[in-house]
Amino acid sequence: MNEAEQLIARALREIADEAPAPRPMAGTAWRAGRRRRAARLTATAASGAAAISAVVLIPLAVSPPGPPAPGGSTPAAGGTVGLRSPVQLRQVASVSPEACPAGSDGLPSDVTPLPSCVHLTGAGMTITRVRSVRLVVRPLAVLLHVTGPDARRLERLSARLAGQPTPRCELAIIVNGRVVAQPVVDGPIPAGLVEISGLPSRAAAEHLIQLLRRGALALPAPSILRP
Amino acid sequence: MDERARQDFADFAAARSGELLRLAYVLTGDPHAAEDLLQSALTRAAAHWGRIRSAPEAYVRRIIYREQVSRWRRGARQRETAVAQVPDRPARDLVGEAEARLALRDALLALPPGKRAVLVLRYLEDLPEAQVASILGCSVGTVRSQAHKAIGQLRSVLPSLGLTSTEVAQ
Repeated sequence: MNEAEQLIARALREIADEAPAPRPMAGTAWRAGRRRRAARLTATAASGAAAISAVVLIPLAVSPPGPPAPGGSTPAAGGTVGLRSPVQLRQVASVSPEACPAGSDGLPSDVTPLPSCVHLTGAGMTITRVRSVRLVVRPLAVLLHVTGPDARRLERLSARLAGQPTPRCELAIIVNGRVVAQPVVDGPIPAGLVEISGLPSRAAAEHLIQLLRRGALALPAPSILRP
Repeated sequence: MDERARQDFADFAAARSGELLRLAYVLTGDPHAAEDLLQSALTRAAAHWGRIRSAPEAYVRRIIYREQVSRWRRGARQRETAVAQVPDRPARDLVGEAEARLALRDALLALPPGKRAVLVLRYLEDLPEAQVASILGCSVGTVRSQAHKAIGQLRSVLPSLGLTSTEVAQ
């Protein structure tokens, strides 16, 4: 460092030395952070109109199937729906707080505001067909109602993850090679729903539905999906 | 498990808040804005604690830098420039090393947060340009141009500093 740079560094240190003494803020930050996490996390729940069980941190993040959620939801057409972009559910092995380096076997994540790279274990399943895709407006989420065989696999997978140490108790929900949600699984999920919440806007949720149903092409979402 | 994570987080915050607040303060130049910035960064860290707990400080520091720059870009914190809080010290009034240092300090505080962040990373944290670019989420070229402009601004206030843009762009 030359003399001028040393002058700048010294002036910056002097400014830093004037910083106030820190006040305890861990408790407030922790509570606010966990609320934020709960709001962002994806929920997975039991099928049917019965009570929601199992997963995730905050039950409020889970939307039961059946009647439309408050604010309205729009089911897809009847029968099953083939997904052009399959949804992968994979157990998380580790997460690096940086973008995935070239050649990495990790996947980029949209869950955190900063770049992160999610590494996965071999445990997981792929969903290519669902009973329905719903846009839930409040709280904003995309809801996938999986078919019977997938529901059973989801139950086994969730039972396997529950109780494992963080982050191995987390389930990465992957669409088009990106982790779009990463809920904590704290119990087996008997059957049914995969909810992708924490999306930044309704437009983003509609885009995700479009991606799931039509692949990566930027086609307009079908009107039936618009509440 | 959550209780243990909470305790880990509390330990981290207790141990590192002082240093992180210094960083936030040198970036904002305002004690309240610095606390606000640190609180925001800790909140984000808490939200993702499970995955960052092995190396939380780098994550929190990156949040602090980026949050400060993005706040400034959004125009939400125009007071960050803090020009009104520091005395105006024309260059012609400079006599002696002490006054020059004070003037340099004031000029640094008057820099826009983006440029100040570049100087803090380069000279206070002593990081190479590539790492500065990575932390701020911009290109190395942007780091160089920001440093160049920042030095130009300092030099316009403090010709006696004797800086040249090439010294900073190295």
